[in-house]
Amino acid sequence: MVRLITHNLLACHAKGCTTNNFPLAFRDAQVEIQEQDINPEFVRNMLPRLEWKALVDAARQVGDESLPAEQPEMMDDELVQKLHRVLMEVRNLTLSSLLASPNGHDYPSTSLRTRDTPRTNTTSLSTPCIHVLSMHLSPLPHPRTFLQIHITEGAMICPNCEHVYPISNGIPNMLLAENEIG
Amino acid sequence: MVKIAVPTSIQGRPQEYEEAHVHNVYDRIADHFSSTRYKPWPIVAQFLSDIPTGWIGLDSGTGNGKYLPIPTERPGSIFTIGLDRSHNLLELAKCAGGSPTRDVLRGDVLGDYWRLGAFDYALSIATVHHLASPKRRKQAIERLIQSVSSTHGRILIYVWATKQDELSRTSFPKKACWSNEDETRISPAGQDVFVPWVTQTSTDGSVTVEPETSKSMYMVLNRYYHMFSEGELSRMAEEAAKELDLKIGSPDEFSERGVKGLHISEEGWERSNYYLLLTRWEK
Repeated sequence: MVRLITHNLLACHAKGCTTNNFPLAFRDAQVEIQEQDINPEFVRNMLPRLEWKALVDAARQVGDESLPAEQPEMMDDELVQKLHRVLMEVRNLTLSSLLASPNGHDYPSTSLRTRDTPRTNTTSLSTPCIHVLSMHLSPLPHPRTFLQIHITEGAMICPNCEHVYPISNGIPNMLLAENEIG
Repeated sequence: MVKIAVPTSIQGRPQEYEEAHVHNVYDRIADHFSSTRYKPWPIVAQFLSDIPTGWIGLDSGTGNGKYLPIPTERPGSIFTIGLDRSHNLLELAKCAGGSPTRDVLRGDVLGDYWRLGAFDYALSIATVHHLASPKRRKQAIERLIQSVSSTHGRILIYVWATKQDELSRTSFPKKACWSNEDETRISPAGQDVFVPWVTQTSTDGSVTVEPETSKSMYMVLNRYYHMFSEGELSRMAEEAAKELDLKIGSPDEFSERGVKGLHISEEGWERSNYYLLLTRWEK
Protein backbone atom coordinates (compact mmCIF):
# COMPACT_ATOMS: atom_id res chain seq x y z
CA MET A 1 0.00 0.00 0.00
CA VAL A 2 1.12 3.50 -0.39
CA ARG A 3 0.25 6.44 1.82
CA LEU A 4 0.67 10.11 1.07
CA ILE A 5 3.67 10.17 3.44
CA THR A 6 5.49 7.90 0.98
CA HIS A 7 4.28 9.86 -2.04
CA ASN A 8 5.74 12.99 -0.41
CA LEU A 9 9.25 11.50 -0.50
CA LEU A 10 9.16 10.25 -4.10
CA ALA A 11 10.86 12.13 -6.94
CA CYS A 12 11.48 11.12 -10.54
CA HIS A 13 15.10 10.50 -11.53
CA ALA A 14 14.55 8.98 -14.96
CA LYS A 15 17.28 9.78 -17.47
CA GLY A 16 17.70 13.53 -17.90
CA CYS A 17 14.99 14.35 -15.36
CA THR A 18 16.63 16.60 -12.79
CA THR A 19 14.33 19.57 -12.22
CA ASN A 20 10.61 19.97 -11.51
CA ASN A 21 10.58 16.22 -10.83
CA PHE A 22 8.57 16.48 -7.57
CA PRO A 23 5.82 15.88 -6.56
CA LEU A 24 4.50 13.15 -8.82
CA ALA A 25 0.87 13.73 -9.85
CA PHE A 26 -1.76 11.07 -9.20
CA ARG A 27 -3.79 9.80 -12.13
CA ASP A 28 -6.85 7.54 -11.90
CA ALA A 29 -6.14 7.11 -8.21
CA GLN A 30 -8.27 4.73 -6.20
CA VAL A 31 -8.23 5.25 -2.49
CA GLU A 32 -8.78 3.06 0.51
CA ILE A 33 -9.10 4.21 4.09
CA GLN A 34 -7.69 2.03 6.90
CA GLU A 35 -8.02 2.71 10.60
CA GLN A 36 -4.90 3.13 12.59
CA ASP A 37 -4.18 4.25 16.14
CA ILE A 38 -2.89 7.78 16.31
CA ASN A 39 0.61 8.44 17.58
CA PRO A 40 0.64 12.25 18.07
CA GLU A 41 4.35 12.36 18.85
CA PHE A 42 5.12 10.60 15.58
CA VAL A 43 2.99 13.05 13.60
CA ARG A 44 4.55 16.12 15.27
CA ASN A 45 8.14 14.92 14.86
CA MET A 46 7.67 13.59 11.35
CA LEU A 47 6.01 16.65 9.86
CA PRO A 48 9.14 18.80 9.26
CA ARG A 49 10.36 16.03 6.93
CA LEU A 50 7.46 16.55 4.53
CA GLU A 51 6.85 19.20 1.87
CA TRP A 52 3.61 20.79 3.01
CA LYS A 53 2.36 22.11 -0.34
CA ALA A 54 2.99 18.78 -2.07
CA LEU A 55 1.10 17.03 0.72
CA VAL A 56 -1.92 19.35 0.51
CA ASP A 57 -2.03 19.04 -3.29
CA ALA A 58 -1.73 15.24 -3.18
CA ALA A 59 -4.46 15.00 -0.53
CA ARG A 60 -6.75 17.12 -2.72
CA GLN A 61 -6.00 14.95 -5.73
CA VAL A 62 -7.33 11.95 -3.84
CA GLY A 63 -10.37 13.78 -2.51
CA ASP A 64 -9.29 15.12 0.88
CA GLU A 65 -9.52 18.84 1.50
CA SER A 66 -9.08 18.86 5.25
CA LEU A 67 -5.62 20.45 5.27
CA PRO A 68 -5.11 24.22 5.03
CA ALA A 69 -3.15 25.46 2.00
CA GLU A 70 -0.59 27.20 4.22
CA GLN A 71 1.14 25.23 6.95
CA PRO A 72 -0.14 26.55 10.30
CA GLU A 73 2.54 27.72 12.68
CA MET A 74 0.82 26.02 15.59
CA MET A 75 0.52 22.25 15.60
CA ASP A 76 -2.64 21.97 17.69
CA ASP A 77 -4.36 18.70 18.48
CA GLU A 78 -6.90 19.17 15.74
CA LEU A 79 -4.22 19.51 13.10
CA VAL A 80 -2.39 16.47 14.47
CA GLN A 81 -5.65 14.51 14.19
CA LYS A 82 -6.19 15.66 10.63
CA LEU A 83 -2.64 14.82 9.65
CA HIS A 84 -2.89 11.40 11.21
CA ARG A 85 -5.95 10.64 9.18
CA VAL A 86 -4.53 12.00 5.93
CA LEU A 87 -1.20 10.22 6.45
CA MET A 88 -1.89 6.99 8.28
CA GLU A 89 -5.37 5.68 8.69
CA VAL A 90 -7.93 3.80 6.73
CA ARG A 91 -11.54 3.57 7.80
CA ASN A 92 -14.64 1.85 6.56
CA LEU A 93 -16.01 4.45 4.24
CA THR A 94 -18.73 3.81 1.78
CA LEU A 95 -18.99 5.39 -1.60
CA SER A 96 -22.20 7.07 -0.51
CA SER A 97 -20.46 8.93 2.31
CA LEU A 98 -18.06 10.33 -0.25
CA LEU A 99 -20.84 11.29 -2.58
CA ALA A 100 -23.12 12.96 -0.04
CA SER A 101 -22.50 16.57 -0.83
CA PRO A 102 -24.05 18.89 1.71
CA ASN A 103 -21.48 21.59 1.10
CA GLY A 104 -21.24 21.11 -2.63
CA HIS A 105 -17.48 21.37 -2.89
CA ASP A 106 -16.08 21.24 -6.35
CA TYR A 107 -13.46 18.61 -6.66
CA PRO A 108 -10.36 20.54 -7.64
CA SER A 109 -8.35 18.07 -9.66
CA THR A 110 -8.86 17.68 -13.37
CA SER A 111 -6.47 14.79 -13.57
CA LEU A 112 -8.88 12.29 -12.05
CA ARG A 113 -11.43 10.44 -14.06
CA THR A 114 -14.46 8.44 -13.10
CA ARG A 115 -13.68 4.78 -13.01
CA ASP A 116 -16.41 2.32 -13.62
CA THR A 117 -14.85 -0.69 -12.01
CA PRO A 118 -16.66 -3.08 -9.70
CA ARG A 119 -15.97 -2.71 -6.01
CA THR A 120 -13.59 -5.29 -4.69
CA ASN A 121 -14.50 -7.86 -2.08
CA THR A 122 -13.54 -7.06 1.44
CA THR A 123 -10.95 -8.95 3.38
CA SER A 124 -9.76 -8.46 6.93
CA LEU A 125 -7.08 -6.10 5.69
CA SER A 126 -8.74 -4.46 2.80
CA THR A 127 -11.77 -2.25 2.93
CA PRO A 128 -13.71 -1.68 -0.28
CA CYS A 129 -11.97 0.63 -2.68
CA ILE A 130 -13.30 4.12 -2.71
CA HIS A 131 -13.35 5.33 -6.27
CA VAL A 132 -12.32 8.90 -6.56
CA LEU A 133 -14.63 10.69 -8.90
CA SER A 134 -14.15 13.92 -10.75
CA MET A 135 -17.41 15.29 -9.48
CA HIS A 136 -18.81 17.06 -6.45
CA LEU A 137 -17.33 15.59 -3.32
CA SER A 138 -17.98 16.79 0.16
CA PRO A 139 -15.40 16.93 2.86
CA LEU A 140 -15.80 13.69 4.76
CA PRO A 141 -17.84 13.71 7.98
CA HIS A 142 -14.60 12.94 9.82
CA PRO A 143 -11.75 14.19 7.74
CA ARG A 144 -9.11 11.63 7.02
CA THR A 145 -5.48 12.31 7.79
CA PHE A 146 -2.88 11.65 5.19
CA LEU A 147 -1.53 8.65 7.06
CA GLN A 148 -4.92 6.91 6.77
CA ILE A 149 -5.28 7.31 3.04
CA HIS A 150 -3.87 4.47 0.96
CA ILE A 151 -3.61 4.69 -2.80
CA THR A 152 -4.41 1.26 -4.20
CA GLU A 153 -4.63 1.69 -7.97
CA GLY A 154 -3.78 4.29 -10.59
CA ALA A 155 -0.50 5.91 -11.47
CA MET A 156 1.92 8.65 -10.50
CA ILE A 157 3.16 10.93 -13.26
CA CYS A 158 6.36 12.97 -13.23
CA PRO A 159 5.44 16.64 -13.75
CA ASN A 160 8.62 17.14 -15.80
CA CYS A 161 9.29 14.12 -18.04
CA GLU A 162 5.77 12.64 -17.70
CA HIS A 163 7.13 9.22 -16.86
CA VAL A 164 4.26 7.03 -15.64
CA TYR A 165 4.78 5.01 -12.45
CA PRO A 166 1.83 2.61 -12.27
CA ILE A 167 0.26 1.60 -8.94
CA SER A 168 -1.29 -1.85 -8.90
CA ASN A 169 -2.79 -3.65 -5.91
CA GLY A 170 -1.36 -0.96 -3.65
CA ILE A 171 2.23 -1.33 -4.93
CA PRO A 172 3.80 1.45 -7.03
CA ASN A 173 6.21 0.19 -9.65
CA MET A 174 9.23 2.50 -9.71
CA LEU A 175 11.38 0.27 -11.94
CA LEU A 176 12.80 1.99 -14.99
CA ALA A 177 13.82 0.31 -18.23
CA GLU A 178 17.57 0.21 -18.70
CA ASN A 179 17.53 3.04 -21.26
CA GLU A 180 15.54 5.21 -18.84
CA ILE A 181 18.00 4.96 -15.96
CA GLY A 182 19.73 8.30 -15.41
CA MET B 1 17.60 -28.17 5.97
CA VAL B 2 21.30 -27.71 5.40
CA LYS B 3 22.21 -25.05 2.88
CA ILE B 4 25.12 -25.75 0.58
CA ALA B 5 27.20 -23.02 -0.97
CA VAL B 6 28.98 -23.76 -4.22
CA PRO B 7 31.57 -21.42 -5.74
CA THR B 8 30.49 -19.77 -8.96
CA SER B 9 31.70 -17.10 -11.31
CA ILE B 10 29.68 -14.37 -12.95
CA GLN B 11 28.99 -14.87 -16.63
CA GLY B 12 27.58 -12.21 -18.88
CA ARG B 13 26.27 -8.87 -17.71
CA PRO B 14 25.73 -8.56 -13.97
CA GLN B 15 22.19 -7.18 -14.46
CA GLU B 16 21.13 -10.25 -16.43
CA TYR B 17 22.92 -12.55 -14.03
CA GLU B 18 21.00 -10.99 -11.13
CA GLU B 19 17.75 -11.26 -13.08
CA ALA B 20 18.28 -15.00 -13.57
CA HIS B 21 19.88 -15.93 -10.26
CA VAL B 22 18.33 -13.48 -7.80
CA HIS B 23 15.12 -11.78 -8.94
CA ASN B 24 13.53 -14.74 -10.71
CA VAL B 25 14.45 -17.07 -7.88
CA TYR B 26 12.91 -14.88 -5.18
CA ASP B 27 9.73 -14.40 -7.16
CA ARG B 28 9.36 -18.17 -7.44
CA ILE B 29 10.24 -19.09 -3.87
CA ALA B 30 8.58 -16.07 -2.19
CA ASP B 31 6.02 -17.92 -0.07
CA HIS B 32 8.32 -20.64 1.13
CA PHE B 33 11.24 -18.28 1.63
CA SER B 34 9.04 -16.00 3.67
CA SER B 35 7.93 -18.82 5.94
CA THR B 36 11.59 -19.37 6.87
CA ARG B 37 12.34 -15.70 7.46
CA TYR B 38 10.22 -14.38 10.27
CA LYS B 39 12.63 -13.82 13.13
CA PRO B 40 14.29 -10.41 13.23
CA TRP B 41 18.03 -10.45 13.73
CA PRO B 42 18.88 -8.90 17.12
CA ILE B 43 21.20 -6.16 15.85
CA VAL B 44 18.65 -5.07 13.26
CA ALA B 45 15.87 -5.01 15.85
CA GLN B 46 18.11 -2.97 18.17
CA PHE B 47 18.97 -0.51 15.38
CA LEU B 48 15.26 0.10 14.78
CA SER B 49 14.46 0.30 18.49
CA ASP B 50 17.05 3.08 18.85
CA ILE B 51 15.44 5.22 16.10
CA PRO B 52 13.74 8.35 17.56
CA THR B 53 9.97 8.75 17.23
CA GLY B 54 8.90 10.56 14.07
CA TRP B 55 11.75 9.35 11.88
CA ILE B 56 11.09 7.98 8.40
CA GLY B 57 13.22 5.19 6.94
CA LEU B 58 13.88 2.98 3.94
CA ASP B 59 14.29 -0.79 4.03
CA SER B 60 16.16 -1.42 0.79
CA GLY B 61 15.64 -5.06 -0.21
CA THR B 62 12.81 -5.52 2.28
CA GLY B 63 11.96 -9.08 1.18
CA ASN B 64 8.92 -10.21 3.14
CA GLY B 65 8.98 -6.96 5.11
CA LYS B 66 9.73 -8.52 8.48
CA TYR B 67 11.48 -5.35 9.70
CA LEU B 68 8.70 -2.96 8.66
CA PRO B 69 6.59 -3.37 11.85
CA ILE B 70 9.59 -2.97 14.19
CA PRO B 71 9.84 -1.68 16.90
CA THR B 72 6.75 -3.61 17.96
CA GLU B 73 7.07 -2.26 21.52
CA ARG B 74 6.16 1.23 20.29
CA PRO B 75 3.99 0.73 17.22
CA GLY B 76 3.54 3.67 14.89
CA SER B 77 6.48 5.58 16.35
CA ILE B 78 8.62 5.34 13.21
CA PHE B 79 7.70 4.73 9.58
CA THR B 80 9.73 2.34 7.44
CA ILE B 81 9.06 2.05 3.70
CA GLY B 82 9.95 -1.25 2.01
CA LEU B 83 11.66 -1.45 -1.38
CA ASP B 84 12.20 -4.69 -3.30
CA ARG B 85 12.44 -6.09 -6.85
CA SER B 86 10.32 -9.14 -6.15
CA HIS B 87 6.64 -8.53 -6.70
CA ASN B 88 5.67 -11.71 -4.87
CA LEU B 89 7.72 -10.81 -1.81
CA LEU B 90 6.20 -7.32 -1.78
CA GLU B 91 2.71 -8.81 -1.71
CA LEU B 92 3.77 -10.46 1.55
CA ALA B 93 5.65 -7.40 2.83
CA LYS B 94 2.54 -5.28 2.40
CA CYS B 95 0.85 -7.26 5.16
CA ALA B 96 3.89 -7.73 7.41
CA GLY B 97 2.81 -7.58 11.05
CA GLY B 98 -0.89 -7.66 10.13
CA SER B 99 -3.04 -4.56 10.02
CA PRO B 100 -2.39 -1.74 9.17
CA THR B 101 -0.79 -2.40 5.82
CA ARG B 102 2.82 -1.36 5.14
CA ASP B 103 3.99 1.00 2.43
CA VAL B 104 6.07 -0.89 -0.11
CA LEU B 105 7.46 -0.01 -3.53
CA ARG B 106 8.73 -2.15 -6.37
CA GLY B 107 12.14 -0.94 -7.41
CA ASP B 108 15.82 -1.65 -7.66
CA VAL B 109 18.24 -1.04 -4.81
CA LEU B 110 20.40 0.84 -7.34
CA GLY B 111 17.44 3.01 -8.33
CA ASP B 112 16.99 6.58 -7.21
CA TYR B 113 13.35 7.28 -6.48
CA TRP B 114 13.55 9.85 -3.68
CA ARG B 115 14.07 13.45 -2.89
CA LEU B 116 17.74 13.77 -1.96
CA GLY B 117 18.29 12.77 1.67
CA ALA B 118 14.57 12.12 2.16
CA PHE B 119 15.05 9.52 4.90
CA ASP B 120 16.31 9.67 8.46
CA TYR B 121 17.52 6.08 8.35
CA ALA B 122 18.04 3.29 5.87
CA LEU B 123 18.65 -0.39 6.30
CA SER B 124 19.73 -2.97 3.80
CA ILE B 125 19.67 -6.43 5.28
CA ALA B 126 20.95 -9.43 3.30
CA THR B 127 20.59 -7.57 0.00
CA VAL B 128 23.85 -5.97 -1.17
CA HIS B 129 25.41 -9.46 -1.38
CA HIS B 130 23.01 -10.30 -4.24
CA LEU B 131 24.57 -7.71 -6.57
CA ALA B 132 26.84 -9.35 -9.09
CA SER B 133 29.81 -6.98 -9.39
CA PRO B 134 31.97 -4.96 -6.97
CA LYS B 135 30.92 -1.78 -8.80
CA ARG B 136 27.22 -2.50 -8.30
CA ARG B 137 27.71 -3.41 -4.65
CA LYS B 138 29.49 -0.11 -4.10
CA GLN B 139 26.74 1.75 -5.98
CA ALA B 140 24.15 0.16 -3.70
CA ILE B 141 25.99 1.56 -0.68
CA GLU B 142 26.20 4.98 -2.39
CA ARG B 143 22.43 4.91 -2.91
CA LEU B 144 21.86 4.19 0.77
CA ILE B 145 24.14 7.07 1.76
CA GLN B 146 22.37 9.44 -0.64
CA SER B 147 18.93 8.40 0.54
CA VAL B 148 19.44 9.59 4.13
CA SER B 149 19.75 13.03 5.68
CA SER B 150 23.22 14.58 5.38
CA THR B 151 22.98 15.89 8.94
CA HIS B 152 21.89 12.84 10.94
CA GLY B 153 21.11 9.89 8.60
CA ARG B 154 21.78 6.43 10.00
CA ILE B 155 22.44 3.34 7.88
CA LEU B 156 22.65 -0.35 8.76
CA ILE B 157 24.01 -2.81 6.19
CA TYR B 158 24.13 -6.59 6.62
CA VAL B 159 25.82 -8.96 4.20
CA TRP B 160 26.75 -12.62 4.17
CA ALA B 161 30.27 -13.34 5.38
CA THR B 162 32.89 -15.83 4.32
CA LYS B 163 33.37 -16.38 8.04
CA GLN B 164 30.55 -18.77 8.91
CA ASP B 165 29.03 -19.49 12.28
CA GLU B 166 29.81 -22.98 13.57
CA LEU B 167 26.09 -23.37 14.15
CA SER B 168 25.33 -22.19 10.63
CA ARG B 169 23.16 -24.48 8.63
CA THR B 170 25.21 -23.78 5.55
CA SER B 171 27.69 -26.43 4.57
CA PHE B 172 30.64 -25.91 2.29
CA PRO B 173 31.93 -29.01 0.53
CA LYS B 174 35.64 -28.97 1.31
CA LYS B 175 36.80 -30.12 -2.07
CA ALA B 176 34.69 -27.70 -4.02
CA CYS B 177 35.00 -24.75 -1.71
CA TRP B 178 36.59 -24.29 1.69
CA SER B 179 35.97 -24.81 5.34
CA ASN B 180 36.20 -22.38 8.20
CA GLU B 181 39.73 -23.54 8.96
CA ASP B 182 40.76 -22.50 5.47
CA GLU B 183 39.77 -18.92 6.04
CA THR B 184 43.25 -17.62 5.37
CA ARG B 185 42.91 -18.88 1.81
CA ILE B 186 39.88 -16.74 1.14
CA SER B 187 40.71 -13.77 -1.00
CA PRO B 188 40.16 -10.30 0.45
CA ALA B 189 37.77 -9.78 -2.44
CA GLY B 190 35.31 -12.29 -0.99
CA GLN B 191 33.75 -15.22 -2.78
CA ASP B 192 30.95 -15.58 -5.33
CA VAL B 193 28.71 -18.57 -4.60
CA PHE B 194 25.46 -20.23 -5.52
CA VAL B 195 23.15 -21.37 -2.75
CA PRO B 196 20.69 -23.86 -4.21
CA TRP B 197 17.08 -23.63 -3.11
CA VAL B 198 15.52 -27.05 -3.56
CA THR B 199 11.82 -27.13 -4.20
CA GLN B 200 9.16 -29.51 -5.28
CA THR B 201 7.13 -28.67 -8.34
CA SER B 202 3.51 -29.61 -8.49
CA THR B 203 1.64 -30.39 -11.67
CA ASP B 204 0.39 -26.84 -12.11
CA GLY B 205 3.98 -25.62 -12.23
CA SER B 206 3.81 -23.73 -8.97
CA VAL B 207 6.58 -24.10 -6.48
CA THR B 208 5.61 -25.67 -3.20
CA VAL B 209 7.43 -26.76 -0.09
CA GLU B 210 10.71 -28.58 -0.02
CA PRO B 211 10.54 -32.25 -0.89
CA GLU B 212 10.03 -34.80 1.83
CA THR B 213 10.27 -37.82 -0.40
CA SER B 214 12.59 -38.79 -3.19
CA LYS B 215 9.63 -39.54 -5.45
CA SER B 216 8.85 -35.86 -5.92
CA MET B 217 9.95 -33.74 -8.80
CA TYR B 218 12.89 -31.70 -7.62
CA MET B 219 13.71 -28.32 -8.90
CA VAL B 220 16.89 -26.57 -7.89
CA LEU B 221 16.98 -22.82 -8.06
CA ASN B 222 20.43 -21.36 -7.64
CA ARG B 223 20.57 -18.12 -5.74
CA TYR B 224 23.65 -15.96 -6.28
CA TYR B 225 25.49 -14.47 -3.30
CA HIS B 226 28.72 -12.59 -2.92
CA MET B 227 30.20 -13.65 0.43
CA PHE B 228 32.09 -10.71 1.89
CA SER B 229 35.53 -11.17 3.37
CA GLU B 230 36.54 -9.46 6.58
CA GLY B 231 36.85 -5.68 6.13
CA GLU B 232 35.51 -5.76 2.57
CA LEU B 233 32.21 -4.08 3.46
CA SER B 234 33.77 -1.19 5.37
CA ARG B 235 36.38 -0.63 2.63
CA MET B 236 33.55 -0.46 0.14
CA ALA B 237 31.61 2.01 2.30
CA GLU B 238 34.70 4.22 2.50
CA GLU B 239 35.06 4.13 -1.29
CA ALA B 240 31.37 4.99 -1.65
CA ALA B 241 31.79 7.94 0.75
CA LYS B 242 34.77 9.14 -1.26
CA GLU B 243 32.72 9.05 -4.48
CA LEU B 244 30.18 11.27 -2.77
CA ASP B 245 32.85 13.70 -1.49
CA LEU B 246 32.25 12.80 2.13
CA LYS B 247 34.97 12.80 4.76
CA ILE B 248 35.42 9.53 6.56
CA GLY B 249 35.59 9.62 10.32
CA SER B 250 33.85 10.98 13.37
CA PRO B 251 32.68 14.64 13.27
CA ASP B 252 35.04 15.44 16.18
CA GLU B 253 38.00 14.88 13.90
CA PHE B 254 37.04 17.80 11.67
CA SER B 255 36.67 21.46 12.48
CA GLU B 256 35.97 23.31 9.22
CA ARG B 257 32.42 24.53 8.82
CA GLY B 258 30.31 23.08 6.02
CA VAL B 259 32.26 19.85 5.82
CA LYS B 260 30.17 16.68 5.33
CA GLY B 261 31.13 13.24 6.42
CA LEU B 262 30.34 9.62 7.10
CA HIS B 263 31.22 7.87 10.32
CA ILE B 264 31.55 4.11 10.59
CA SER B 265 29.98 3.94 14.03
CA GLU B 266 30.09 0.19 14.35
CA GLU B 267 31.44 -2.74 12.42
CA GLY B 268 30.89 -6.34 13.36
CA TRP B 269 30.11 -9.93 12.63
CA GLU B 270 26.96 -11.70 13.74
CA ARG B 271 25.78 -15.17 12.81
CA SER B 272 27.65 -15.58 9.53
CA ASN B 273 27.10 -11.97 8.49
CA TYR B 274 29.14 -8.79 8.55
CA TYR B 275 27.32 -5.62 9.47
CA LEU B 276 28.13 -1.95 9.32
CA LEU B 277 26.48 0.94 11.09
CA LEU B 278 27.07 4.28 9.37
CA THR B 279 26.15 7.80 10.48
CA ARG B 280 26.12 10.88 8.28
CA TRP B 281 27.12 14.24 9.73
CA GLU B 282 27.53 17.81 8.61
CA LYS B 283 29.44 20.62 10.35
